[in-house]
Amino acid sequence: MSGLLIILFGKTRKVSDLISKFDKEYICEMQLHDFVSESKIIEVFNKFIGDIYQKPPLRAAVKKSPRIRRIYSIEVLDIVKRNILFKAKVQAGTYIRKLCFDIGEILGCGAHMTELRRTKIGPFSEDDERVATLHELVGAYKEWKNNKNEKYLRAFTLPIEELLDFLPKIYIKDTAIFSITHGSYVAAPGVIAATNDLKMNSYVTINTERNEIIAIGISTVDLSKLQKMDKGMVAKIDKVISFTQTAGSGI
Amino acid sequence: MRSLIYREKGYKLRLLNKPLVKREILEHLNLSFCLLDKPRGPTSHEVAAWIKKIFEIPTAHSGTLDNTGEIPLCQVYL
Repeated sequence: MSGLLIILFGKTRKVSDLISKFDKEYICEMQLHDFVSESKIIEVFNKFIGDIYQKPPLRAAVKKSPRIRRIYSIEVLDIVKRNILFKAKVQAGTYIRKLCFDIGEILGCGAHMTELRRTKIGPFSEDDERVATLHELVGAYKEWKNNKNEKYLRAFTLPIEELLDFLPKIYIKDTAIFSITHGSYVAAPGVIAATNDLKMNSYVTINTERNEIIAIGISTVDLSKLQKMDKGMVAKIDKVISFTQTAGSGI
Repeated sequence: MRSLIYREKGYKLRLLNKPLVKREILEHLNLSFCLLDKPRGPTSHEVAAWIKKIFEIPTAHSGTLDNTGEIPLCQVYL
């Protein structure tokens, strides 16, 4: 109900499907509908670690058929009478309200979620000093609009490169920028280097020498093959992010 | 640890998670995201719509935070 939310501006919206797959971490408070012993509660909570079947709630954006979601960890922090505070690290697409309901069913007494806070999305945590409240964000924007001071706005808005840092990167030459942003695939002669986490058939970011992302691609080779190539396709382009690069546009 | 594997020799790149060139503020905004501490009350969709209205640029959010009483939309376009 409160907590971390990633807001995407402008062209960054194009990658929303990639980052919605991030794992999430929550702190949640639930209330049982009857008194249950502490040992029984801990025992049932531990049963929920691992893969679980979950049917999305009636009001959800996805198909309402049971699906498997992984609970990486779930830890009871405090129990006061019928209220339980717990922390859970879950796969994307896990409904915590539903998880609380299901725990109540297994306990036999029923339960519901009373409070939820998201503390982590993928690599980003709520402890990050760049996390902004709505007031801070609007304040920073007004400061730029009215007083032409970009400092605060830049402090709260982070570049897309940081968001997609988890993907393998392919670095290309400036001479290849134009053709890639205009529909061509990534060809070996235009590639300078790649990060060592590059695998075949996975999402990659296509970066310039100055580390600006110009596109999202899907790799068609792995590292060992890339090193031997001097022609041919290295990656298909999935989405073009930026046409207007600050540098490298004078081709 | 992540490292760079070169296809061609003679290049030297730096591994950074930020672009080397500082973008103009408008270009930067259009290629940026923010980590928001969503308050209780408004839905994720409402928050994204408010920010879109104030910032006057298209805005979306990723990952609806609890769906009670809202019909979640993933993206909001102008």
